[in-house]
This record gives sequence, structure tokens and C-alpha cells, in this order.
Amino acid sequence: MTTSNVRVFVTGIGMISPAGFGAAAFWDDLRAGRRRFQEMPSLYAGMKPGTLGAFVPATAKEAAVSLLRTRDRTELPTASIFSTACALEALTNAGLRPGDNTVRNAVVCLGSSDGQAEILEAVVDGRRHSGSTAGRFNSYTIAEDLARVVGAAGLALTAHSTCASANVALAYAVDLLRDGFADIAIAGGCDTFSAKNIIGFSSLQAIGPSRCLPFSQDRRFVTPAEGAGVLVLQTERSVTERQQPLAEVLAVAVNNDASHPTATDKVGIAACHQLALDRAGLDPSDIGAVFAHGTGSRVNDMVEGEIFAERYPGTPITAIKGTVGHLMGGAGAAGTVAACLALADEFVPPTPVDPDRTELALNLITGAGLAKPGLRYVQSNAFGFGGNNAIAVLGRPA
Amino acid sequence: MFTFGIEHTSLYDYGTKDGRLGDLPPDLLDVIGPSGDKYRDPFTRACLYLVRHPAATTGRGDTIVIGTEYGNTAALAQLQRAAADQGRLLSAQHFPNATSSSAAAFLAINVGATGPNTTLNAARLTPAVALWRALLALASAQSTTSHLLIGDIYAPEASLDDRAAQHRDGVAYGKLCATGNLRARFDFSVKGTASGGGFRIGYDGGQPAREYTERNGAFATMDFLSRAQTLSAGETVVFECFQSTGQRAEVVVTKGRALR
Repeated sequence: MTTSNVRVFVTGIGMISPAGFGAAAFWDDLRAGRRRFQEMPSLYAGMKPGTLGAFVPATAKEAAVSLLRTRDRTELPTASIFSTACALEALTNAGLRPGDNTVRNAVVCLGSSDGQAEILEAVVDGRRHSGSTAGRFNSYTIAEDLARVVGAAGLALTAHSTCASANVALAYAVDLLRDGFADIAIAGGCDTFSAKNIIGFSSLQAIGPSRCLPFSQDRRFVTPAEGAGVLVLQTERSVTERQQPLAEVLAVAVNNDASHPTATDKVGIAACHQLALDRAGLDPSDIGAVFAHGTGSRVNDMVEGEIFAERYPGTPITAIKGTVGHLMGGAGAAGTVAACLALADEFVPPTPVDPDRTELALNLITGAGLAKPGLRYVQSNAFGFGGNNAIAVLGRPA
Repeated sequence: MFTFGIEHTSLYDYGTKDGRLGDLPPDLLDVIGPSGDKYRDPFTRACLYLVRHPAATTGRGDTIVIGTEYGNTAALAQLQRAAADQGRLLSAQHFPNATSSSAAAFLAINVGATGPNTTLNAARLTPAVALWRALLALASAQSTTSHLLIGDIYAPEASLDDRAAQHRDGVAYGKLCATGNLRARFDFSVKGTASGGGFRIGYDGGQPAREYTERNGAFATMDFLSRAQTLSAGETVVFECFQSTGQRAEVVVTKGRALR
């Protein structure tokens, strides 16, 4: 990360998730701990019957599509639709308009693990994908489509770091702003339903017929989901008086375990935590709440939970994957958007698990959630296969 | 402005040539190791070969930055087909090799690269953005060495994605270090008008600029890194990347003059 001291603020957010379209629907489900998990269709002979997943409802997709021009409604693939619609919501939220002078110079940084998966999978299967397919499964097209629709003419990129992709993209955006390449960035992450991805998780026995139970002694499976989250980031000098930032991005730390292709490594993850805190200039005791990666897998939650118990004793912890599922490459964006909402609402949403079954000595927020007046600093964790780690630390805007 | 050195450069250009499958390096499995190779795709093999080659020594704490448009597409397709063919017998070893950042993951494990590893796709601007990211890891002191890999080994599906483009397999590698007397300056501003897209290397001393119009940025990147590595004091090399939509990225590298 750059050593510049340019301050970066979140001025707008957008979300699409199994809760529906919009940050409000997302936060509403998180506050209520309302799950929308359903059985997935079997994709191959090795998949467990009744495996659960979570999908963006058709009404939400229709709402997203309705924001686009007619041509884009039929030609854009789903990942582009999700990301672009979230960007439009985030810009509105920030008091900005597509194509205006501020947005025209924006850089676009999106994270995705599976990119335009539906198109590649159709090609492999020998199926024709609706809409234009030439040049479409190149993952860059997600960022390119978003940039074109919002009228951003600056640098655009897609970052791939498995389930840490969105927070890695956030790191790119913050560094580009701090290095002076732009004053505004549109950053986030997205993944849509990918058959290849579901098959892969199934082959690892990581998904199944019982729901995600983060940090519970009864946890067994990850619940895969789809969706996107986008944030508008602006440098301090570009924020106008009529804008009301939701959060300040104090630090985004990225590192790698360099240890195992799929298993989480405590040394690497602990190092990422320390790097994030060092860069934010904070101690663990300063953190008012952590949006954990909390996938509900045995290994991740044990490693992450041990770090919380050892280094963040008493800090409120919550794991939103227990409510909305695991948005894969979009998970970091969901966590970071939720962190912004937590700061704004001074509220930590619950993890929908039995509090008496929590493993390790964590202050896991369950039940009705936790009102947290004066909440000042929030952390959003994202870790992925291949040892990818990315942690964002946000602060209440001063 | 970034200060850095280039310790090593190499190009992996095995693969398809003029539409025909070319020869692979004879020492490929000796260098990358046979364990798990059945599940690797050609792109991961290429990246491992470049970084693990004896000429390119490695160390713990390094950073891996891979700039690629289609990366591990072959492995993604391979997993999907294997699931259809093998059903319950599908091996769990496919999936770790079949993510969009698998090459970076296995490189990190091999090298012990605990830095801010990343795989990125900025289309024609990829080489410049990836180089910026690699140098940022050095400048922030998170690593003392960054391994930069740029290019593609095109799976058949990737070639179908843009039938009009020239597809030549290749991956360029640069081992960058925090000490050295090269200085890099970046410009990602929007300039120019929409054109065909491509790369240009500009040199000091009246040498004509070299232009590359093919899609794969590996060859232009290799040209640029090789030239930067051999600059004389005070000389400059300029690497320009052009998007067909008008965006451009420029990297200017100058070799510092020796102190008296």
C-alpha cells in the first residue's frame, strides 16, 4: 500500500444479494438475521442431495435491469448487470450522476473470483449464451461494462483473489487515489452463480444440506451465494459539502499465507490482521466491531476465531454469511458495505446461530444484534483459497 | 516515482505457434515438479517454470503480481468437463487449480511469497498496471522482491472469445527488487482517441519506437523489461499501453546517474 496520507472516504454504497436489490434490503435482512437459503439443483453426480445455496431473487434482478438502458438490458451478462446496477445505486447514494465531471475521471476496480462464469460455462457445454458473446467472458468486461454505463473514462481493472477479491480491489482503488491517479474510484466485488464453482466446493465436501453456522460448534458447511457490492470512494479534497460520507477507509491490508491451496493459515491471517491495524494506526482494542470472514467451515472459523479470542477479546464479532451466504468474490464487498452501514446505524447485526453453541471465547453477536452508540472503527475481513487475505479497516468520518 | 532494480527477465513462449502446438521446454517437469501436474493447466505451468527456473532464485516474503486476460481458463474448463465425465469420481485436486488466481496461489506456495499477491486484468493496460502494483509492494516495504508475470497461454475457449485478434502464447517474467537505480514514473490518464489498441516501446538516442499490435502483452513487456535492464546511466525507456477505447497507460523508466 502507498505511504501517502491522502484521506479516502466512502460516499456511496450499492448492493445486490439474496436479500434483494439495494443496500436497504441487504441491511434489513442482516439486522433481522433473515436467511433466504434454498436447495440448489444438482449439478453433477457427486453433489450431495439438498445442498443449500442462496440466490439473487428474480425481482431483485429485474430491479437491477430496470436501471439500465434498453440495449444493455438484453446484452449484458449477469455479473455486469449486478455490478453496474450496484454502481448506479452507489453513485445516487453519493449524490453523483453518471457521466458528470466527477464520475468521468473515476477509476473502476472490481474484484471477482469467477468473472463472467455463465458465458464460459455455456461455451464449454456447447450452449449458446443469450446476448452478445464475442469477447464477453474476458473478466475485464465486468469493469469495462460498469465504466461505460456510469460514464467513467479512467483506468478500469478486474482483480482476482478468490474470496478476497473485493477487498483486494478496494486496496487497488485506495492506492490509486492515494497515489494521485484519480480523486474518485468505484470499487467493489461481484460473483454470480457459477456451476464450476459449486462443483468445486462440492468436490471438497465443503457445501451440503445444512446451513452455514459461523463460529458454532455445530458448523459443517459453507452456504454459497451470489451478489455484488460497490462503493464510491473519494479523496478528501473531492468530497463536497453537500455529500455525507459513510466512512473513512483507514487501511486495506493484503497478504498471502503461501502455505496451502485451500486451508487457512493462522500465521498468514494473523499477519494480515496486524498489518491492517498497523496501517490504520490502531490497536485491536480500538476496533468496535469485526465483520468476520466467518464462512461456517471448520478450518476457517477455527483459525479466525482463535485470532479473535487471542487478540480481540471482547470485541463484538459478527459473520454475515450466516444470513446472506457466501458471495464468493463479492463477499469482501458485502462485508465492507455492511461495515459502513454499521457505522451509520451504530448497530452490529447478529450472526443467526445459537449463542450457547458458540465455539471459542468470542463475543459473537447473536439474537437481536447489538446497538453500539459511538461505534468508531470497524474491520471487514476477507480470506480466500490460495492463501489470499485482505482486511479493510473503516472509521466513522470525522 | 519508484526506485527499483531488475534482477532477472525471461520469456516463456512455448505453446502454439502459427496455430500449431509447439514444443514444451524439455526440462519443464524437472523445474516445476511432477506432483499434482495432472491438474495444472498450461498457464500455471508457464508461470511456475519462469519463477522456479534455477536462474531465478526466490525468497520468502516476496510478492507475486500476475497480469493476464484469460489466465487459468483452461483449468476452469477442465474442471467442468471432468465433473460431467467422472461424476462422483471427480478428484478434489481439480478445484484448487481451477480458480481465476490458481497460478498465483501455487507460485506463492512454491516461493513462499507472503506479500500482497494479486492477479489482475486491465485488458491492454495490464502490463503497466501490474508493474505499478509490483513496484508498490516494494515501495511500501511489504516485500523486497516482486515477481511480475504478464501474458497468456490461450485455452481454446479463450481464442474463441476474440476470434479477430492475433493470439500468440507467451508469458514474460521480471524479477524486480527494491534496491537498484532504476526510477519509474506512471501515468494512467485518459488521452488519445479510440484506436486498435496495442503497445509501444520508445527509446532514447533516436532509435525508432517499436510497436506491438498483438493482444498478448507478454512480448512488448519482455522488450521493455530487457531494455530497462540494459539502460546506461541517464537513459530512458518508455512503455505505452493503449486501450481500443482511448485509455492509455505510460511507464517511463530512467536509469539514475552514478554518484560522484
